[in-house]
Amino acid sequence: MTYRQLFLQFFKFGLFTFGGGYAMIPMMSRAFVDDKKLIDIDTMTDYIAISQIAPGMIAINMANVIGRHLKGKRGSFIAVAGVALPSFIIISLIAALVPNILDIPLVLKAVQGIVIAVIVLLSITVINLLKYLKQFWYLVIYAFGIAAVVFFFQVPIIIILLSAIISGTIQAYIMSKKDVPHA
Amino acid sequence: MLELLFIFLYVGLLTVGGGIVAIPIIQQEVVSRGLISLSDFIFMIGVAESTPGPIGINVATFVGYNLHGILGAFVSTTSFIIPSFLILLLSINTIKKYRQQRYVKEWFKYLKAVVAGLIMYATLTLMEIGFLTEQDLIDTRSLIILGILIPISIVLYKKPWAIVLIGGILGLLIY
Repeated sequence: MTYRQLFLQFFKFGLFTFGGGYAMIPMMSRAFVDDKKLIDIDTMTDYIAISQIAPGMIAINMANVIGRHLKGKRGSFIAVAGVALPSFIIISLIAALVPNILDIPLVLKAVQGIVIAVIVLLSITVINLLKYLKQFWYLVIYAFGIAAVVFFFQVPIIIILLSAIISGTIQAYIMSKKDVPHA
Repeated sequence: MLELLFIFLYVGLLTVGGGIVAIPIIQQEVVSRGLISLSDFIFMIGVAESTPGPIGINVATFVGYNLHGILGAFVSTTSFIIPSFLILLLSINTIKKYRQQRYVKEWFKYLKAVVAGLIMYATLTLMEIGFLTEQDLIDTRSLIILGILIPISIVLYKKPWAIVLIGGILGLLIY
């Protein structure tokens, strides 16, 4: 695979995938594992897991690790640029074509409906996450607590992230202590 | 412009658990500071969800363009991507090695809860705008739209652009 092919492949993912990064995972898997047979399924499963653990967007992380697998560090850069560029172009065009769009009364009316649609979409994401979290009841309470303190007290999000790292570390530490007698 | 660069480096650094987390962070860093109005931001999320590509990038580009034109879009998008891009580029072998470790697994679990909590926060803020009138009363028209959108979204949950489009049309018809 040449740099050019790599770029075009990721440009296509960026251009044709609706629904964000998660929707790109099966498309990338199909292209590189099934069609082109450039990456074996175990390695791809590994990459999907890494992309979710690492900070940043899933789609960008996938491009990063797959680009690296195929063409080294330069491949990473090219794949990431490829997957991000369609968004950049499309959104810039929309933003350029509709300056001051919210000054139009009709658009403002539409936004009244769009906000409800966005609430529904975000709620779907929350419900899916809660389905995963419900096996750990304390995490469900923790999630609601986070929503409350950020909403009512504007606690900076960096503090929330630190609290998660600290709580996770403490819990892992306690669990490793508990395991010692059984070992 | 420099402010935009630093804000999005910060947003990029804090975006863990997927691009959608960028929405509450941008809300806190950009909307709460008054750089962009909440109704502009809602419109941007609607567009970001209904156009192709990663949602985080779509929002970042839109915010940048809105503040400083095409150059602003370039600055916000690249500075949003750079932190996590470099972290993963430099630490992929470390992540591979330790990802089965108990500590990493626990962090990941807690981060999922953080993502859920932050998106709930973003949703709550939007609900204030969406469901309440200026007198803080419940707006029945928004409840009608919600009542129509819920069954539609159960069928079309894989087509966010369709939900946004229908929401927009209902807004035009009812308001």
